[in-house]
Amino acid sequence: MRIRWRVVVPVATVCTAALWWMASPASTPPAQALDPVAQASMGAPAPRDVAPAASAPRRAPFSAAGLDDRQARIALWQQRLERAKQTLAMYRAATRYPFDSRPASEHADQWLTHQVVTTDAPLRMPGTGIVPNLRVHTTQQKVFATGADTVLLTVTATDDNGAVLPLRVLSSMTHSPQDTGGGKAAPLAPVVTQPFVDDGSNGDARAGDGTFTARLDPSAEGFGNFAGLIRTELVVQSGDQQGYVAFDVVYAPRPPATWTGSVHDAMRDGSLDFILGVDVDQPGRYVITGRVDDADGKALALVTFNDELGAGARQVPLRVYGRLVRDLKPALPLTLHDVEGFLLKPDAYPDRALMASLDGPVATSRKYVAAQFSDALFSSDETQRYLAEYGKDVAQAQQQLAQLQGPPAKP
Amino acid sequence: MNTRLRNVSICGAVLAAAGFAAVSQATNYSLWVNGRTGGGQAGNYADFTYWGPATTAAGINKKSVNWDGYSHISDQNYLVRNALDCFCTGTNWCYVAAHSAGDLMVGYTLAMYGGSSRTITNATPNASGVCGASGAGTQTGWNIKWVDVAAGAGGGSELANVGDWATSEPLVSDLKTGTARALYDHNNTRSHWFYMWAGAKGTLYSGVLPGQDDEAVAYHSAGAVSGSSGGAYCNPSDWFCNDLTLGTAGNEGGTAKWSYHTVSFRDDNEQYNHYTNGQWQGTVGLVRQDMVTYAK
Repeated sequence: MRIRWRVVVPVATVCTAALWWMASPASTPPAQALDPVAQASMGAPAPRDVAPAASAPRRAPFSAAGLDDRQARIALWQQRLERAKQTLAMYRAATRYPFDSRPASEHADQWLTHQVVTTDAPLRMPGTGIVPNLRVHTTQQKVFATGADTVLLTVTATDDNGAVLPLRVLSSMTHSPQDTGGGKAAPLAPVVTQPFVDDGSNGDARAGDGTFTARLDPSAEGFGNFAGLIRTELVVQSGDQQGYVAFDVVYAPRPPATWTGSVHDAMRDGSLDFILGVDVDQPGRYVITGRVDDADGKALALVTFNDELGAGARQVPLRVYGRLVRDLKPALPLTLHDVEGFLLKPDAYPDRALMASLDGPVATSRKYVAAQFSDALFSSDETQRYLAEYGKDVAQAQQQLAQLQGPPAKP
Repeated sequence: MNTRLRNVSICGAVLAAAGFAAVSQATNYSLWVNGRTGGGQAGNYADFTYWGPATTAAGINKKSVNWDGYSHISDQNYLVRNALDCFCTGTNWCYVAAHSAGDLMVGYTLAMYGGSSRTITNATPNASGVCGASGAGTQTGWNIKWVDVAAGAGGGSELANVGDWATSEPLVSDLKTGTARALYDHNNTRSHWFYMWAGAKGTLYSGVLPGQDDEAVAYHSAGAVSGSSGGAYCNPSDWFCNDLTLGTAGNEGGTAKWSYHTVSFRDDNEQYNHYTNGQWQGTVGLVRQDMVTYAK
């Protein structure tokens, strides 16, 4: 249906006014000037459109003030044009490859899996002052854990230069915080003492080095049926100073899916798919990420699957996009390695249940030649939508500038 | 039917037609996503309690995307998805501004759900902030032009690590530096640019927050420095600490920023802290100005 706005708008305006008049008691005061929010939501020029002149009255175009206004508006639209052009160019460049097959350089901090989380802070109790030259260094093997995963935790007292200082662990307790937010009941979880040792056992790297270690083992410590946050809290002491340390691990009791061990590759539409077999126990949205190196071991691409999987035997494609291969010219064949995955649970905590990770090389592709990969740029409904909109923004800014830079209208 | 009633009926029909047409008209919106503490009523897009007076200009058709600023990011994320579904689908487009933990919220949304199928809505929210289907079907992802971030907590805060923020608070657990950085792939913004504003007027927690800070988050987070842990980053005037660089360039010392993140503002004069004070203050004030200039 095509709406005749020239008819509708005046009629609607008159009708609105008439309805308002009919509904208003006689004592209703005159409406006040609309605030900028109301104006904007009614489709009138938004405040930023009149900036920087803002709410100032429009000046005569040939006056000095009028010319200043004009220059300011030109500067504003030049800024807007610049950002619009930049946004368009950057989006066009970024989307030459699909969102699920990206250059490794774009995800440098994702390349190493199982990155140990470290912290370094003054050794102190919360809310208290800082003792100079006394710090506490911690490491945590992982943040998310599932099933039989264990998590190594370490704590060390140091001076400002990193030299290890004597430390005592006064208390160490593992439990789940009771407040889960949103009025939800806290799941039942045990409270256990967590032994931190410096005797070279239970994951402790070296006896007597001043670093105390615990191996959190949720399934063996009574958390086997628990899903949520497991917190290990310590009070430690070095010299006369006491300090607080906490480690948080987000735990899910069982993996939602298992790898079948089946992996093969296929060339589809000029792109290389590594296809992994998965046996899905809990259906839902899965986020699965793998890394791809070339034959020389050079990082090439981060490949991702983020979509729904039904229960049962499924195949997960991890795609190396053809144009990416053509552009980056890797040595072939390609190797998929270090694949991680989890079930994403919307609007829940924990928001994920991890699958067992596939560490190290997972599969090496058959031998293809570069010419078998497509050099077509990626395109989708989504990217076309964005490019059209960003292009429109550029055109609009150019039009505004052209109008402003033209001869001023005669009064 | 008397004349007055007939006039009312005609006017009602015309207004309904105009309303229908308005739905199919392209509209741009400015969405503001709050951080820790919240304060605005969830689902009420006109409630700017967290930010400041609702009469203040803050980008075209501004909407306050309120969440409680207390619960876990994943628990409250539906509120952000609701807002994006409402205002950023079909022919409608959004500019997004976020503060503090709102950065984590927006980043999480795009990384986890940025490529999901979304229902195109009528941009008319009900009391819960949910919009109805327009009948135009679905689309992949949302329509977001770019994201402005004041005092971003996407990289977490050491105040969450060391227990200075209430350890019982669910969000504080998400804001631990290691947890925030492991929560999602921060480089995966679906090619949307995050413009970062980093404040440095922090004094109270200077010994706890590494490098420069705004009293709640350090430069490593507000400046989108990549990696699984935080670090100390400063202004160029500090010779004993690596500089946080402007733009997308790597920082002094060699660390990279997350992809599609650029530092628009570094507080070299240490003038801006973390807090809005209910008056659009701190780095939020700078972002507001940017929204006024560019979100049109």
